Amino acid sequence: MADQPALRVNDLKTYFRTPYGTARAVDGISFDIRKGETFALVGESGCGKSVTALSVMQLVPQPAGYHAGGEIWIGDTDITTLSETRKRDIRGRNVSMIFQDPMTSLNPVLTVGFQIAESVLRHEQMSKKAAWDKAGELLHSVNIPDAAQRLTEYPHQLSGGMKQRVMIAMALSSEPDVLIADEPTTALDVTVQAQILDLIAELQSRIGMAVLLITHDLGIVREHADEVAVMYAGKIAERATKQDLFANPSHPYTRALFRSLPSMQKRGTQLAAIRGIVPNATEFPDGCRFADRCGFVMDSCRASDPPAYQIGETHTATCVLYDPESSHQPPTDDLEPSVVDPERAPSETSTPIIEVRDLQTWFPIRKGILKKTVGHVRAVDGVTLAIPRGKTLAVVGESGCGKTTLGKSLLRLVEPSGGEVLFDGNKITGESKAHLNRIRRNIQLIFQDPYSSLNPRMMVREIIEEGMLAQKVGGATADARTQRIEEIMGLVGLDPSMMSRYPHEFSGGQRQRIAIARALAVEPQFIVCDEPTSALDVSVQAQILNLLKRLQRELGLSYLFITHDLSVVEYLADEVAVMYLGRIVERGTTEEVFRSPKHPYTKALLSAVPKVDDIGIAKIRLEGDVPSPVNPPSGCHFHPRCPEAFAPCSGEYPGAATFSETHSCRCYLHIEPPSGN
Amino acid sequence: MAEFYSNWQYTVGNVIVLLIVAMIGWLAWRASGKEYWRDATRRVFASKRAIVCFAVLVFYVTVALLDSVAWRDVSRDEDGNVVKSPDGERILEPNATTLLDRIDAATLKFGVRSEKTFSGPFASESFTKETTQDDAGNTVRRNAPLDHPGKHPLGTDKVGDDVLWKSLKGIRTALVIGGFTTLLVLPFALFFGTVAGYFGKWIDDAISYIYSTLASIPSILLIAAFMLIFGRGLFQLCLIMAVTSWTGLCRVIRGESLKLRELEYVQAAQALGVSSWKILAQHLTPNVMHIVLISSILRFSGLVLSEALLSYLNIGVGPSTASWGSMINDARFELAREPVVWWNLVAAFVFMFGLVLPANIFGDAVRDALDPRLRTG
Repeated sequence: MADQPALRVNDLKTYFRTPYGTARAVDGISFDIRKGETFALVGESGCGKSVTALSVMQLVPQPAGYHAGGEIWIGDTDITTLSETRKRDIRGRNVSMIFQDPMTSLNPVLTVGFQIAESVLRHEQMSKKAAWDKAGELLHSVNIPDAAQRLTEYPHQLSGGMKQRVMIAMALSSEPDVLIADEPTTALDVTVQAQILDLIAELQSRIGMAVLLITHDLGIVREHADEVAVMYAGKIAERATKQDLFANPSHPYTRALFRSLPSMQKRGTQLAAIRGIVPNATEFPDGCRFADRCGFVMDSCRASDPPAYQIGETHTATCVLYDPESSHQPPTDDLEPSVVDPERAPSETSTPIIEVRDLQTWFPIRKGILKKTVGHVRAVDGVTLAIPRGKTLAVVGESGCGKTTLGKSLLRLVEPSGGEVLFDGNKITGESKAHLNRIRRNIQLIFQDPYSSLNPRMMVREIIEEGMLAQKVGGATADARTQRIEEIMGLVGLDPSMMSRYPHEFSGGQRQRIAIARALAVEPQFIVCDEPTSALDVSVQAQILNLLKRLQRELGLSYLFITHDLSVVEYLADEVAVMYLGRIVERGTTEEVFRSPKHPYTKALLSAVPKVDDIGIAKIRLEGDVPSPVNPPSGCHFHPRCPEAFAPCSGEYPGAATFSETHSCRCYLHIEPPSGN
Repeated sequence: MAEFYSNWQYTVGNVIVLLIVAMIGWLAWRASGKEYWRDATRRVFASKRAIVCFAVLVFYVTVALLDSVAWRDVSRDEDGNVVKSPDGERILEPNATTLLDRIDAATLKFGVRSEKTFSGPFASESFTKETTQDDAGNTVRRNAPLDHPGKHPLGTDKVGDDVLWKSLKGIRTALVIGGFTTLLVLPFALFFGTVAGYFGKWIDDAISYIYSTLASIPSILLIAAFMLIFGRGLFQLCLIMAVTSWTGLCRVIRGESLKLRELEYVQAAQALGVSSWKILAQHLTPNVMHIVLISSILRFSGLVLSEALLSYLNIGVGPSTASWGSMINDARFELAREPVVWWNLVAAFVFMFGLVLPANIFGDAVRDALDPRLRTG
């Protein structure tokens, strides 16, 4: 029985009844996972990854969703045939699941210990005391320090990473045969993500369970999976061992995914975005479902649904290109060569478009009836930077480091408490509201979430026109404005005929284009992009990044690009500033920071990002979480987590060490500590 | 027709009714020219349920409108001659008759056929035994035959009035209390709620202080005091109920505005330099309208019910105005009788239910039809 897979899924179909027809969310997929192995399901959102996970747990939302066929074998039981009571036994005992968002998976009014003990008791007969002790052991096993103390705490007292550890502890309380991890780190910071993924791997080798890892991040697959299935529109497009997949991606979809990833090597070229979006599950086309977006599409693709063709012993692709009986040549090189961007003309003036001097944004914490200020959240704590005209400065850092507040402080959407901001040599801070409103037409903002950044009750036309009316640009008459709106919509790649539609009729990528159009309508010179692609799929992200680059080239825009995604930074930014707890710890050109990072935090951040290529750089694992900006640690804020910290680090905040005209960092490894320490 | 204009009080009322009808007609005419509203109308009337509910509501509104147009007739004596005052002026009847009364008098005659006291639905003899003389002249104790046997579908009440007729007359009172009060509440609650939520700081403190203070006064006491000072009447009642009930809606709108203020489309508008008032009008108000609609419909039934409570405390609309509230109030004594007189209560309940349920369903249909997130394609 050694070779029997821990989980075997055979031709699984899960459909949903919707008002628009049957949604074939999962439509005939098969795979198996052996004990101790990690099987990764990758794909864009809407491909059916999460529904697959829920189907294996038999937790598909009823009555809309239903099991439309296939088998799910856990050990030697087909769980689709069991009664609900028996399924409940299997769930948690044999199969466990951890979810994407640890914030909402724990009950906020019960202690952590109670919740873990409860799940222990569900599967084992023991006293409450023993269950509590077991809960402590479990917390200890997921590397939570002071486990006994933590048991009595409530979820809100824990950080996001800790909560995910608690979730893992609960999932592992019965030592399951199969663990399903549905995007377990998507809501977490990259340094915490590394901790969690390592923890899962460690526990996996200890317990010997099979892991079904669901992710959209090919980097995570590269580092943590044994076998991979690429899902597209409810079906498996390609299945291979990790080595085969990365060495020889075969299905056009897989190839396109790889090509749309931003990276250092692709700087100066356009990303190969996949055109269109994943089709809606109620209206999958006949034949190959990728045909409409595929660069290699042929007539035979639309004729019939291709079966999985063998490429290697463990490598299959669902694409007619690999039909051994046909004469198609499998693509040896990509058909669409990468398009090189035209060189940008160097800017003639040297005044930076934005200059920030010692900017400070503190939020008071008020308590009591009289609302006495008892402390401050130091979101931005003395930031100095300058953005040259026509260039992109990226601000990177983990959540809570103050990068979004910095962006909003530049526009005075959040009122800074100190320092100054200059636009084109003119002060923005300290000006009256009326004057500020005039300056605002030069500085615009693009937000992260294209769903909450557009008013659902305004038509696209009204959304774009709003700024024109407020700033009195784009023409005095309605006709002139309509013409201008058409122009702008064309510029961002939207069909002007969609002007009188509402935002909900658009996909995420299109909505982000509308948001960009809204910003462009007032003809700004500088745009703050606050994580503009992190809510989008990689293929759509590539479209938006290409658009932002083209706009910069054509309109001479300057960007402040706020992100946590370092691969986007590598690809897009001219300069980088790394933020930690409200301060910039290192800045320089992208080349300098990525090739020779100086600050230990930058080094850790760079090494924590799962990479699709060059494996084998030494990993620096950070312990713990970002501290609270209410009470930042003394001296260098980073020293409690820093692997290279030494005595002077806890003394005073280090001054700047300069390496070149552009490259500087604040760390005692590179400058003399003040004497006396 | 000189009499039509002879009493300004009724003339003003009639003009208002005409204006309301004209306004509805004008809005419908304007809307029918716009694709957006035509489309919305199609969506609303796509379901049979909405059509039925709409028909019921149209019936209620028509009855209420007919019952609002009123004028005083010239007094006539029993022979039908016009009564004149000593100086030769024609005298008007003390009470006005509404259009609904006139239609009823000409056709179904519910309003004019009264009995002596209680009688059951479609009964042919009175509900209570009384001592009368039979045809032979003997004194007997029996259920006396009615003046209009079988003509009262919902029976008659204590003073012999037709219950169906009373219920119909109650429609106007209910619609005025529910509708007019809501109309008074909305601008206050919307304005103060969005302003408090959006601007925050001291403006929020001030507005929150006002509504918390108002809400902390027991509203019954406030209403009682107001009605005692300004007299019992439909208008006074609506006014004071509006004053006491805007705080709840205001609080909810303030909460929603606090949430909306932080949304990115509001921040984007701020970054575009759009003025605060425009943000309130364009971004906040449309996005709290679903709350306004739902709570207005819920409030509507609540208002009709609280009128019943106020009638019980004798600070309601007054005995001369027919209302479901006073019917329910009367039912307290009727239910204590043996055998029970149930039709008064049931009639009020059925009419109230028949208004509130279709209003809810139709309100939902309208909300869904206007919500752009639910509009597809």
